Amino acid sequence: MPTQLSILTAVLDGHRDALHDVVRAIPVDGGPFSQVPGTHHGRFALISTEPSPTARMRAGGLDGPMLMCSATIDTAPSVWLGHFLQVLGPLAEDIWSHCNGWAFTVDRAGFLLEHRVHSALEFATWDAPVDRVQRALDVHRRLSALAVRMQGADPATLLAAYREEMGR
Amino acid sequence: MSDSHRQATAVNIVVRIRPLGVAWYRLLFFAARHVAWVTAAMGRQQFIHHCHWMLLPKRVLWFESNYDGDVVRYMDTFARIMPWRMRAAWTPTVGFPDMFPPAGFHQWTIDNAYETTSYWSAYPDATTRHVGRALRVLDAAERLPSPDADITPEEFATAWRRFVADTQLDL
Repeated sequence: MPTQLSILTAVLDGHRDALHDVVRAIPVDGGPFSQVPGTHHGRFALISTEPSPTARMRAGGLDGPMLMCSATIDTAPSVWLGHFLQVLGPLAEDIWSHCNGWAFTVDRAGFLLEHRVHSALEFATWDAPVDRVQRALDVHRRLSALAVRMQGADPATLLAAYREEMGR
Repeated sequence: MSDSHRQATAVNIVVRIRPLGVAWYRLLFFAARHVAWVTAAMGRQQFIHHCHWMLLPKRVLWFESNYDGDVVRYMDTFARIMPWRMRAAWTPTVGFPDMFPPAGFHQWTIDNAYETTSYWSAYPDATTRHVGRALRVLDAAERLPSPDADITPEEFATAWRRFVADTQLDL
């Protein structure tokens, strides 16, 4: 089953809006989460307890603004995190330099793992690695189209079409 | 909108837990990890890719989900199909108004669902049901003869017809 990796860091006083701008500018398609193998989903959530720039960032049960970086992954968290930091490059500094403790740490991956929050309960409707899900979606698309195209086809035509479709 | 990546949607619900509620959550999550029945109804709905709950210090419950649709409909569906399990999951939080009448529950959901600032999904165009259909088709396809196998067209056609019959609801 995929694992949840959730890293919660406290945002420095007065840094919330600057951090919000950095995180909002992270590209989605082709962005950092997409470049780390074994990632199902990834998110940054900046949750604030102060008067907020958007209506949906408002006071909750937290002491101050917090940044949650969270991903659903197939690999070991330390391996995934090392790869993620590599992909982020200087962007990691741009993000977590707004968070408490980052400036005083040398071991970036270690800092983030220290701030990991473990799940009390995880749930997945389908227990499959992301590679298999993506392969399944691709095969499903191809075979659905083939089944429609090959209705009534003779066996030789069917086998040739199947070989062509799945041999790609 | 940052809460969604095409079909895939993210939600963060962050709520304060009532005094003594933490002990209840530890018990509930322990039971859910060991008794499949507790989460079985969630699986049958097939609109959650992955979700999880975290217990934070100072009595904070943080819930994250990756799912299809919008958050009010998401919570409303669970309120209708598994009301007692929903009560078990949310009653120990501060300000939870029960799910019925729905107006107060909808407002509570909106009030506690926080913005996701940046969100990405590896399969943003596939709903959870679509993923399930695709996985079942892949399982069946892996039982078809290999395209490189030494097989006659007639033998393959027989296997193909069986494959289509077995997976017709999923294709």
